[in-house]
Amino acid sequence: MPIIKLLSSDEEPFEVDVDIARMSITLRTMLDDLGIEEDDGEPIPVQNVNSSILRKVIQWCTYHKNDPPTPDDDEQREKRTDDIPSWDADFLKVDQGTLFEIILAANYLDIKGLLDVTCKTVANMIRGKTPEEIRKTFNIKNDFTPQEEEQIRRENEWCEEK
Amino acid sequence: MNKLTDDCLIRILSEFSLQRRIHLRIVCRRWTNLIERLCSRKISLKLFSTKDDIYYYLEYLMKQKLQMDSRFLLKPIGLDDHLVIQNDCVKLGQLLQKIFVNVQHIQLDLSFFRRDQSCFADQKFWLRFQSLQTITLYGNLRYAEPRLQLFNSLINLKQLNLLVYQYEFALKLKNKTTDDDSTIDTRSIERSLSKKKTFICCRKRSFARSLQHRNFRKRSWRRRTSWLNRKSSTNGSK
Repeated sequence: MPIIKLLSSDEEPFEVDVDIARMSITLRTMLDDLGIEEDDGEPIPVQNVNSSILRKVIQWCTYHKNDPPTPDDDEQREKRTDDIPSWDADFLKVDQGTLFEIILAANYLDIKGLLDVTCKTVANMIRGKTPEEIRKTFNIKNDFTPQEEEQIRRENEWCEEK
Repeated sequence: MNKLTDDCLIRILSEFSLQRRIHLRIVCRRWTNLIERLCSRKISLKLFSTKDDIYYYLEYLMKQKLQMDSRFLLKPIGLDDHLVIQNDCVKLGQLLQKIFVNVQHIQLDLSFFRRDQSCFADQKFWLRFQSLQTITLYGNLRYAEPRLQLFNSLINLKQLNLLVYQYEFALKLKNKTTDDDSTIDTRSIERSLSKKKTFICCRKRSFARSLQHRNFRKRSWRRRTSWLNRKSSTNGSK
């Protein structure tokens, strides 16, 4: 199977099957544009992703290489976050910083399946929490003035929260 | 979380229902801005008065298979474009106008029109939704009138759907029940809506079929809305 080399932002090289690399739309476009089909000696730089995160991304892609293509987003489809496969759930049992780094990497490399599952994981962390708990969990500063916060609170009174 | 780009955060916030998203605006300014940006992309909005209405509505759609009928622009319900509204008021009206600036299709329960101080019964509210192309009103016509005059000034409105949940009412229409006590002139409604496609349909399949009958379709809008006259005159005499 043809192999290509990827170079993380901290310049660690990774040898990856071309098929696995092509799960990333960003890398696929790059390979197609440059006409690269297998390793020609020059590693492909993945500038925004460091080695520890790139290793995780490759691990995820390797496990999911035979998955069917992820369907496109459909506004009308029912949103579910309780359908995370158990392997993915275990895979994403990492600290918050790493999880967000994986999201950024999945977004940069355009790997829809990985982005889906990581965003769902974060959504599950938000679910059921009060605004104050969300701020505390994710270290978000409440930058509203008391008046602004009160106004939004009043605006939110009209509907039942689900 | 603060390291995430706007794209990623929007992707995460998209996992929540519209209702939950609106509530999450209170977390911080950034979330408010992103959620309002997400809401401004919405072109369809379904407003329900209770959670039960969602299930009735779903059941209704499933029975009628309206989405199969090219006359209707209804889409299968998603969890992404509906809101359950408990208290409507001026504040709600202002909020909806603020965050759903590009909405083209609105569906709402007729019961909204009979609530006290309802923003939906105010013409000023509707005037702000000039992007609206389709309005679908549904519910029980025995207890609430749709107040069609409210929509006269919506210049982009192309279609008005009236979904009737009440079989007895439908039967009256079918049996050509007319009212002789009519005192309200419905011609203004007729005129102003004449250029818009207007559909009435009923929950029961048999009535929906009768609407397709040629003779029925030839009947005037005025006769179809005769119940409006009757109700208005009754209220007036009281």
